[in-house]
Amino acid sequence: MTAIVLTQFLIDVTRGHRRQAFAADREAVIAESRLDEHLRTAIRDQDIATLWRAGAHPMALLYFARLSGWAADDYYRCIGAAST
Amino acid sequence: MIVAATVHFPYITGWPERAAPADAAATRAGFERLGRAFRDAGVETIVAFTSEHIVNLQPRLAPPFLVGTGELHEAFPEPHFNLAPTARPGDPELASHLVRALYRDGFDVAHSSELQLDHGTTLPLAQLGIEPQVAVLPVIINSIFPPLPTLDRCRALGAAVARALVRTAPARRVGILATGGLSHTVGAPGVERNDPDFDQAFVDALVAGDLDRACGHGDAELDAAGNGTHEIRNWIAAASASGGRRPIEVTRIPYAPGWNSGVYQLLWDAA
Repeated sequence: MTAIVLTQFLIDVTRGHRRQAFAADREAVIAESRLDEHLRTAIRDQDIATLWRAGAHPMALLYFARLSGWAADDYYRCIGAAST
Repeated sequence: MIVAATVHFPYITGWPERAAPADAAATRAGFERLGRAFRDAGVETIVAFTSEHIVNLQPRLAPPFLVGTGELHEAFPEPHFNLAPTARPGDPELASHLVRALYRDGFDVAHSSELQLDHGTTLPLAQLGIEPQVAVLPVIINSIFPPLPTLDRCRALGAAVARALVRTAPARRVGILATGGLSHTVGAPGVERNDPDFDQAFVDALVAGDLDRACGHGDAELDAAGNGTHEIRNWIAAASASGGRRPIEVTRIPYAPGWNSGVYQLLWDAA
């Protein structure tokens, strides 16, 4: 269930109905989420490796990384390392 | 009824220069051939078996099959793929008839009047040179949020759509376009490669008209070939809609270096 909640959160803030709110006040959107503290911290830190290991949908996580300013090569290196 | 299937990966428009010139030229030629076939057939509405990439579907709501019934389908903006945000007219009357016919045929598809089309649909339409007045009737098949519809169910859907179109719009010139990748990966390790053996076996099955073989893959096998491989559902639906005809193989590039993918295009001509 956590992975689905995480994936839905990533979608909401990257291309869904919470996108603008997340851009304006990231902390408020995180506070209203159903994420546990571990994942809230990972979102704040843009900790892609932790989010990957938590089971985020790859496409949703890619969009979140892109929104966070990650280059595609860096993203793929990160999840590659997190998968081993 | 003309039926075609093509890949839609965004390297084609976003990073065409990464491919070998011969691969890029063959891909362009393939799109031109398919586009010419649609124009020659005078197609007024394209029923697109298509995938999308988290524009309409999400875990909150992910029906197996979603029919676009709107008068207009806006394009999801994807400037990083060099795609113009071209809205496409829908065919609400035919879409409504199609949904009702599918209900009668045992398919309780979802429908939406406000679908947005992403590169999964907009890229091939642009590359095919489909004129702006040609209507588009999207049938989105969930290939990203499991549980996914089975391949056999997609096969049955394709046949049901073809039956419905013949019954409900015999005078309308309708073409069917499947758009989706074969083996590929998005957002996960393995993005730099495809599975040429899988792709060639799958396409060989379609070319032979052997849908039993084409549908003989479980989700675990598709996952192993890459998470995007689930888009073969669209190809299966189109092949089924062709009524068992054998397609012409327009393009077969097992692996296009720089594009990290194979390039395949099939055409079931209108004959």
